[in-house]
Amino acid sequence: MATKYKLLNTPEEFDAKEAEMRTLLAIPDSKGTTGYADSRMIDNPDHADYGMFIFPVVTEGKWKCDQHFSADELVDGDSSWAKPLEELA
Amino acid sequence: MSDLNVYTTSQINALTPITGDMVVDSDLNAVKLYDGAAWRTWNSDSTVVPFNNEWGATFSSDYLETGSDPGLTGIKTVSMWFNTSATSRGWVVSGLGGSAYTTYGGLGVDNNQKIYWNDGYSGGVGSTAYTPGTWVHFCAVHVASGYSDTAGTATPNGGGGWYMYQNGTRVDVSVGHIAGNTYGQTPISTTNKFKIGREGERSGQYYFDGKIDEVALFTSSLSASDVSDIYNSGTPVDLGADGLNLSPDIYYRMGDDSNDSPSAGGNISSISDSSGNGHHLTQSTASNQPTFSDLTGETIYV
Repeated sequence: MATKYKLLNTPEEFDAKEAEMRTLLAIPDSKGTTGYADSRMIDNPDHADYGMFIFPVVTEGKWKCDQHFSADELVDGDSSWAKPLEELA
Repeated sequence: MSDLNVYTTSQINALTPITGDMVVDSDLNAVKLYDGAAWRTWNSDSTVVPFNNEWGATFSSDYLETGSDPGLTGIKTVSMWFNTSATSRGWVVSGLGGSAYTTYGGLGVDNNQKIYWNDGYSGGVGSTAYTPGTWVHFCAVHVASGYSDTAGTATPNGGGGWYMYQNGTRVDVSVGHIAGNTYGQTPISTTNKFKIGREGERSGQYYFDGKIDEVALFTSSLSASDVSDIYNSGTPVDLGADGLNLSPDIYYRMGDDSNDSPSAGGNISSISDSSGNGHHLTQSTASNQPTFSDLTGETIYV
């Protein structure tokens, strides 16, 4: 699904925002959806935002919630958030 | 009232049709019309799962997984369809392989728009190009002994290897095995939760950006004829009892199972395993759920 991201400073901020989204989106639902997002951190030590927590913000469909955020606080995904992996053979 | 001629899939493939010929495929319980280049099939395959992950190697995107390791051993055939224009690495399926590369086992596409088939032992057993933005059928079939690739290069010691079929044609020229070691010489197993749409259990998750349909795993080695029937000139068919009856051990029809409830654009919290073995896919996290899409151009259906 189409997603933007908000970077948060602490796991507590992430958990609070996740709980807020569950309330707004009526999660859990009858189809087995139990949470809105899993906590993930920028783990590339070379990235300027290393250590921040990535909160996904769905921008369309059933779980759309970007209307609850300011557009200027959302960013696109960045493949360099991930710690570089060794290449496959 | 005249009747249509009834043939098996193999008999139809052996015909020399002209444009407009129409027959009944008794294997598929489907009607086929020859359009001058290929047989077009009317069947019920009407839904696929798109994984709209805009970029790879990152976080919080779409995938589905089994609740636990399915515990299958001796997997000898893996078949699936995918369609992607992405230029980033992503995994169509994962969770297969041996002890050394358990997170790698499966099928991926790379940033050069080539297929990676990985048996989970080798860390990557080669690549082959595909046409971006088209439906691609890929099938890997293990043979226990006497393997040689399409260039005639045999596996050392007459061992096993993986035939790789892309759109019904073998493509494993020097990619079906790696000479001098044991790669590809044994069947694979599920070693973690089986996943569709991302890499296995590790932090860099290489989400697949595209669409996936008709994923099937078998503990038998399908024949070249079986693979040709599955490819069916580019039209997906039912591999189960109502279709080719190939008895897959895991089978995801991605919305076409009677227990699935697809709706265009609807979120997916589960996909049924049509094999009857109960290895259903789920995604309980809202922001990781893909959305259903009706087919556009994949299959003509009624």
